[in-house]
Amino acid sequence: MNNSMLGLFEHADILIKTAGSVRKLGYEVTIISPIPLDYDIKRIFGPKKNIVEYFTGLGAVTGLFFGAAFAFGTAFLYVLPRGGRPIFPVTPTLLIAFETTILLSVLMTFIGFLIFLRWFAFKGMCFHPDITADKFCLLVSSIRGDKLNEIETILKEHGAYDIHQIKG
Amino acid sequence: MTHQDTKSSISYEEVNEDILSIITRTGTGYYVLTACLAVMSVSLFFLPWIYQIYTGQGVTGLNSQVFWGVYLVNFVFWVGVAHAGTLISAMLYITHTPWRRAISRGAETITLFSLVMVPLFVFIHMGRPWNFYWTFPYPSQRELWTSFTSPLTFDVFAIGAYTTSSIIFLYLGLIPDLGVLSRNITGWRKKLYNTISIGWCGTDEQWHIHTRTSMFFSAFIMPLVVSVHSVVSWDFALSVVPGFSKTVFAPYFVTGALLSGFAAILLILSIMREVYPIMKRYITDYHYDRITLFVMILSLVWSYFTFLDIATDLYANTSEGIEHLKFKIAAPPYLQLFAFMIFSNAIMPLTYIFKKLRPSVFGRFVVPIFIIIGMWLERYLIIPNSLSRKFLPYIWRDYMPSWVEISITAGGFLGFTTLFMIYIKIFPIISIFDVKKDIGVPMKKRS
Repeated sequence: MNNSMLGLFEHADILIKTAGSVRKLGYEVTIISPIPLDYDIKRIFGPKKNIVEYFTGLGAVTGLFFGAAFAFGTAFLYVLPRGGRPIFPVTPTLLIAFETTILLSVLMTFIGFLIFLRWFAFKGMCFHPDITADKFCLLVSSIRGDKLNEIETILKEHGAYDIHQIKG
Repeated sequence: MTHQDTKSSISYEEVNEDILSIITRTGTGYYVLTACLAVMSVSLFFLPWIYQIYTGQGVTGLNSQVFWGVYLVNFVFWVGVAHAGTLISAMLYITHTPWRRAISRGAETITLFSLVMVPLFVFIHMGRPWNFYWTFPYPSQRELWTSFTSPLTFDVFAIGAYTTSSIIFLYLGLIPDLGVLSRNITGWRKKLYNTISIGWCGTDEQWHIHTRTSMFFSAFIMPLVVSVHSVVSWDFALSVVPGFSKTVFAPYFVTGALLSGFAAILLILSIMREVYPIMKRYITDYHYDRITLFVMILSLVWSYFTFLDIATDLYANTSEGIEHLKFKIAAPPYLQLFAFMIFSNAIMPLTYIFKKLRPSVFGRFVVPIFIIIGMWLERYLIIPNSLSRKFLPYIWRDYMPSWVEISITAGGFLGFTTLFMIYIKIFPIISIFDVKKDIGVPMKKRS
């Protein structure tokens, strides 16, 4: 059975330092906070991979080709000769392609965001939202039964003011 | 948990309580006011519209020459108001401007409901609104296709992209707050927040993705802010009508949009602060100092572009350009409207030079109201005014808005206010997690 331990902290820097120490012991840690601590976490844990940017790039490229194909393609399919104007206009095509680039980038970024946000939720985080709401918490997961006391001691030594054991 | 180490005396719990109190504490006055606004907006907006559809476009003041009137003025006005919200959320997010945090949610909300009004005025202006789908490219058996060289098609794509992006951006910023709300609120709202917060727990992974996604969104929405109102200006600039066909229109319209948008934000947040005094803890005189400086700078730029607009016609010295200018700035009643516009948009904002006036009642209420009216008049002085005086004198026709157009215009403002009033009771008008970032992160090192 997977056990987890949730420690509540008063200060964010102590929380992050504790997370680093526990992680070095080989445990899986999750930092929960009411505000982003990206910069501070990056200093301890190193930069995180961001997969959403690939969705953004895919959306941008798709949008660009879609917009250009739309404008040029319709001019090709429904030829409308007008005096003094090109059959395949470049400037309007660029404009439409610009708008569709942005639109599809935004949509794909959002889809990527939803997928990866929800994915973390589906991973089955075993902690109590009512406890963690608006607090700085450290969740230590996958603890063997005989190591629970050790983790509890580490958390207390590092300044956790409240500790909850969560059975997975 | 109190946060003595942070740079403010407000704790995170107090932030939650204060902002949630705006949602949860509702008096009878709110219900009465919202109901009145809703009834008035339906009566003034939808009933005359139904009458117009039934009777025909002849109930408006439009004629064979002035085919774009008050409805298009409103369309351009509301697109303009929508811009400042996105500028505050996106551009100031990327530049990590601290004073943005307390006002960004309110600004994004104004953007959202302005963009609700925009297509409504396009549909009203259409006359046959059930044919609105003709503006979208779809394969038809008649092999008709939208003209991608038309600025009206640019509008469809630009405003469509802008509306979609703004809605998603607002929702993205709301997600962490929805997580807080779902833990702290009971009743029917709890289920709503649980659903739309999509499992938000505040883990480091979630924050990392949220922060990066917000950064990407901001980067993409910024060029959209500039491009959308440039595209709207090209509805006019790409024609040959004297008074429309000006190369200065794109930056002129974008600057005017930002000016009217910032004035709207200033006015609405000031009203909210008076109704909910708890907001004074978060939207302070410092915020007014920054926003009013922005307004003053935008006003100076707008004044320059207005001068250019007139100067280019004078320099070109064409007969149709001079006649258009004479009609716009020298012939009553447009002379008076022009003078009022210059006073509202160019002179009044200069009062913000005096620091004491910025957070005063005059600076927070009077000046923004003047700017909003002045910016509406700017569009009125461009659109129907230019169409009244085209090339040949025998086709000159004057325009006077009818009661239907005036009623629908008023109904539009009331409808916007109604939607805003409903929103503030469902979602937080101040970004909870952003304000907590403002307060600071509790660090043991500081103590």
